[in-house]
Order: sequence, then C-alpha cells, then structure tokens
Amino acid sequence: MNPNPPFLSVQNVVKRYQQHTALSGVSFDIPQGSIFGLLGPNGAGKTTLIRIINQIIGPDEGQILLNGKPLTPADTRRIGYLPEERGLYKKMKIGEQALYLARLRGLSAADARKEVKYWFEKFEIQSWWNKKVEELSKGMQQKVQFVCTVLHKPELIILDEPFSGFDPINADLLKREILFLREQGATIIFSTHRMESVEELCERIALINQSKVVLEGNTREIKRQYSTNTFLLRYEGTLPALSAGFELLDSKQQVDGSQEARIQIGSGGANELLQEVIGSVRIHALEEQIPNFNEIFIRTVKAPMS
Amino acid sequence: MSKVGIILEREFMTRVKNKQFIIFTLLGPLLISLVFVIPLLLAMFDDDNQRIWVDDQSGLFSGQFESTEGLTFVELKEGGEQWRDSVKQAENTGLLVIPQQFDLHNPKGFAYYSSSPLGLSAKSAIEGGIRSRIEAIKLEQSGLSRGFIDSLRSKVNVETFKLTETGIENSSTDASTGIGFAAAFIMYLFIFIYGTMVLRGVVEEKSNRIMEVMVSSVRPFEMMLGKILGIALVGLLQFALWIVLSFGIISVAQAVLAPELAKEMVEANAQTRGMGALDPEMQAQANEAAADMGQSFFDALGTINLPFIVGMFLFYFLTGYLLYASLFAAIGSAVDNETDTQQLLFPVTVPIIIAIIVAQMVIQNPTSAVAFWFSMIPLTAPIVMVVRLPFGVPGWELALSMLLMVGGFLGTTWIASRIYRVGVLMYGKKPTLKEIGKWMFYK
Repeated sequence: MNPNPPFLSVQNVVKRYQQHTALSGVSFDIPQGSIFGLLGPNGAGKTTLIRIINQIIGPDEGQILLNGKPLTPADTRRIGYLPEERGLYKKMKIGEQALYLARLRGLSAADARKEVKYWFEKFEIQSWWNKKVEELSKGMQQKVQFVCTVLHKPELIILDEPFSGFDPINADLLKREILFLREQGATIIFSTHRMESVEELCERIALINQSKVVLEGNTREIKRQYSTNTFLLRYEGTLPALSAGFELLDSKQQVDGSQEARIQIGSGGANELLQEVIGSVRIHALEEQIPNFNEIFIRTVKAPMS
Repeated sequence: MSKVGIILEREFMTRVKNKQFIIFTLLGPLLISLVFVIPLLLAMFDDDNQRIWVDDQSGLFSGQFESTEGLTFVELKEGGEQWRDSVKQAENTGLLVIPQQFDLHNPKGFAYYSSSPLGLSAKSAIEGGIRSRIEAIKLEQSGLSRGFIDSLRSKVNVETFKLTETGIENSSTDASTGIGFAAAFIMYLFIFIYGTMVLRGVVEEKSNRIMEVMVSSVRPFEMMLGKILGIALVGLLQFALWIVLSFGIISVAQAVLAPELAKEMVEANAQTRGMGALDPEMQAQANEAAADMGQSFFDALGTINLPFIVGMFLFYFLTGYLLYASLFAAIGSAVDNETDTQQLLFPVTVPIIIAIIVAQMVIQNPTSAVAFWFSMIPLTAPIVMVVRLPFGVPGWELALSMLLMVGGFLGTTWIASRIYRVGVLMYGKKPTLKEIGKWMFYK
C-alpha cells in the first residue's frame, strides 16, 4: 500500500438512479492541504458525488478513502459541508442555531460556545447573536452558514457554490477565510461555476460532465495543455511575410492606429518570432494567449464525448 | 449527549418557548373548567327576575302559577286593558291574559303581551301551568282524583352492577360513557395536533433547505426520531399541565362559588316564601345541595378505576402518537411545502376519522365485534380502545391490543424512516403515493 496515501481518494464511484446514471466510474485524488475545484455543468453529478463523500447517500460501486481508509460514520465529524441549497431555521436565533449545528457535528456544549464566539467575532457578527434568521439579508445568512460549516474545525471542507449571494466585499472576505483555513491545514473541495474563483484558488480540479470525469489535474498543467501557443502582437508598421514556423491567424487595426495580430507559433518560440519581426515593425507588446478556465470549461463540456 | 438527544432538546425547547404553546396551554384548562364553572356562574348571576302579571278573567287559575327563582307571577286583582299600557313601561315584565271563557278540549285565546320577547323557560312555565290546570279540571269532570293519576306515573331507574370475579361492583354507565368519549376525543385531538406539528416541522426543514446541512451531520433516522420524541414530550407536558391546571381552576371555582350559590338559593327561597331572615337550617340544606352537584359526579368517577384508565390512556397516546407521527413525518419529507401535503395526508387521516366514528358506535355497545376489531387494529385502537376502557376490557384483549400497538408503531416507524431518508433529499416535483411507495425499497 502507498505509504503516503492521498488525503481523499475517490475510487471508481458509480451511482445509478432509476432513470439515469449520476456517476459512472468517477476517480480522483485530493492531496492534503490543497484546494480542489470540483467543476461541471448543472446536472453533471457533482452534488451526488458530494453527497456520497458526506455519506448522505451511498455509492452503488466504488469507494471513498480518507487517509487511505474507507469512510465511516464517525468521519462526518471531520467534514464540514456547505451545501448549495442551504438554509437555517427561520425562527431560531442565530447564536443558538450555530451552537446547535456545532453540537450536532460533535462538539461539546462548552466547546461549541467557544468556537461560535470566536467565529462570530472574526466575522464581526457578534451583535447578531439574538437575531432571528428571518431578520437577516441573504448575504448575512450566507456568512452565518459559512461559520456553521467550519466551526467544528473540519479537516475536509466542502463548499458548494460558496460565493453565491455574496457582494464583492464579502466574497473577498470569504476568499481570505478559505485561504486561511487551508493554511491551518484544512483540505478544501470547492464546487462552483464561477471559473475566475477557480483560477484564483484551486490548485487542482476535476471537471465532471455527464457523470464522468472528463478533465482532471493540476490547474497550471491543464492550462498548458490547453494552450494553443497563440501570441498576441501589438505593433506599428507593416508586418513582413512570416516564415513557415509561424502562422498569422488574423490582424486588426486598433483605434490608436496600431495593429494587433494573433500569431500561432508552430516551431520555435516567442524569441524567434520577435527576431523575425523586430526589423520591420515597432513592437508595443507581445503576450501569450492563455486560455482561461471559462474557455477550457466550455470547450471541454461542448466537445463530443469520446 | 447523543445526537437524538440534542435534536430532541431543540425540538422541545423551541416549541415550549413558543408563545402559541404558552397561550394554548393556559387557554385549554380555562375552556375545560368553563364547562364546569359556567353552570355554577349562570345559577349565580341569573337574577334578572322576570315578572308576569296574570290577568285571569276566567278566575280558574288562581294560585296555579308558581313563582320560581327567575320568574315571578303576580295575579292582578282587577284585569283590564289599562295593564297593557303599563306593561310597556315596566322592565322585564309581561302580561298574561287568560280569556273569560275557552273551550277545554281546544283551549285558545291565551295571550302574552310584553315589550321584550318571551324566554323559552318562561313560556314553558306558563304553558305548563295552564295545561296542568286544564288537566285538573278535566280530571274533576271525569271523576278521577289527582292522587290516582299521580300514582300511575312511576319513575324507573335501573341500577347497573358489574359482575366481577371478586363480587359485584356498582358501575355507572353514564360516567363510563362520559369518560370514554372524552378520552377518545382528547386522543383524537392530540394525535392530530401533535402529528401535524411533526409534519410541519419536517416540511419547514425541507422548505428552509436546512435539511441538507442536517443530514450531513445526522442520520435521517436520528433526525426523525429526535423530532418525534421531542414533540411527544411537548404533548405530554401540555397534557399534564392541562390536567393540573384544570383541576386547580375547578376546585378553586367550586370553593369560591359553592357557598355563594348556597346563599343565593336560600335567599331566593326566603323571598318567595315571604320570610325576611335566613333560617340556619335552610342555609345548611342549601350548602349541601350545592355540594351535591359536584359530589354526584365524583361519586360516579369513584366507581371507575381512574389511575388505570389514565395509565392506559398515556400508553395509547404515546404509541398511537408514535405510529401516526412517523407517518406524518414521512409525508412531510416527501413534499417541498405545506400546501402539497393535503392530498398525501388523506390516507393517513381517514383511519383517524373512521376511529372517531366507530368510537360513537362502541359507546352504544362496548363489547360488539366492531368494538373488538377496531380496538385491535393499531391505526384505530388508540381511539377505540380508550372508549372501551371505562366499561371494562378483558385482560387478554387489552394485552393483545397493546402488543399490536407496539408492533404497529415499530412497523410504521420503520416504513416512515425508509421514506423519510429518500424524501428529505428530493426536491422538485410532488411525488405520487406510488413513487413514495417505491422509495421504501431504495438501497
């Protein structure tokens, strides 16, 4: 057996419902202390997988290992889960509600009180203690829900669309907290459609489409893999005819009179390209066109299934 | 503390602290005691004495109308039209005019004039007075004496005894009927009120979307159990408070009102007989009479083994509640909002309604086959059996019914937990009963 098993290992998980298959043979590993993006279009099977990790439902086949051991009911204490469809008791006071959820996660009454206080102070929401949920705005509720997810110090935090309903300031606060929790040693699974937050936060991703993992790995490597070696050249003057290794895709006149050309480099690199054109034109800028995750997402999902 | 305990605590505390619970708990005993206290109060405050002037032109009815507590008859020495005008001015006063001549076999022409309508009891007092006088005249004409007629009327009251192994027990059918039906009705109310409370709690968790947060820390079965048991404690607390408060209010009311009432009765008697001072002997009699009013009911209660019935009531309440509450929980788990519950509730409410209908038949005949079978079926037993209890139920029947009850609630809880565990995570389309049935067999 691997002496250093991954923190969480999803192994060949299959889940069938009567009409359709939600997950067919899904596998990936999540290293300790990483932020892992679980991506996929609506209905791809993400929520089903998250529910299986949370042991809300069981897989039909396959297994999930935590530190190399199959999940047991006792492990729920080590997981913090913020579902996409989240809510709180409307008529219950915020403070009591947080205490209640903390105790259900296995904290003693005293520990629960200590942790809730700590997190409420950190989020500057102590004054809400005696408020009822129905008195809070949606964004405020989201804050409380996030606190309730993490206050039992889970080793694995699963956040399903955590940014929905947050304004930019609170989204930023949340981002900082997520990074802070990772520094504290937590492993975070992050399920979202918002690709810009994936690029900012995630070290690894798995993209699920139609119940299968279609893309998985380190974010930087994936980007490189999807790079088309296309460069954007901004210049003034007339571009010379390019040699065989370079292909001019298109060029556009800019408002200020400069030109912008997209050039795909077949062989060689940016330096060779510069050498070739530097005598003829005045160069303003040269940058590589790196695909963002939005494009990768759309391209992968739209590609015909092999 | 186990998770079921934590959930139970929350379910209990949030409901007990709720204003509705507090109001309902205080209001219930007030309503119950009103049933006992109102007759006492009515007797006390009903001193709007109505006067009826009798203009007896026939001269046949002298001394015929007896004044009662609320009704005073005054015979006018001289009749005439002028009384009609004065009766208009007088308060609470009416004028009864008896014509000079009327046909004994078809008496007509009696008239009552008043500015306010004639009450039902006053009307029957007047009619009764006229009728009995006419009867008396007819008797005289036919040559029979009043005494003979009276001797024809006999009052029969069958005393009921129950034969038991130890001997003969005095039993009271009236008290049994009263207690049996009251118990069945309270059972019906409690199962409905607290069953619906469970249903609403589950629907709330689902429509608030807190369910998914919960099920990741707690197994659905623990959630369901905690909720059902927490609400059961609320029910028991409310029941206990009702009993204590009701008895408290009734005994205070009796202590305060009974002497007052006795005094009133004496005074009323004194007035009608034209005596000024209170006769101490009469005072004592009246006191006794007032005390008797309460005593006779408690005497009847004494013939029934009350602790046994209360104990059995609690058993059937708990098991019956657990049985229905788990079904209510299952229905709650299947829908997204409360309005969708109606159709699904139908199959669960039908047995409760059948039970309360059967209960009325069982009162007529507590040992019939219908009574037996419906007190065995766990869905109807809680209501039907408590009706039978005061009449006495053979030991083996009771034991079998209790055994079936325990089996019944374990069975429904098992079925409900299987539906619940699937239902709580299903959002969207309202499922049909058939689909819910299928959930039971999901892995």
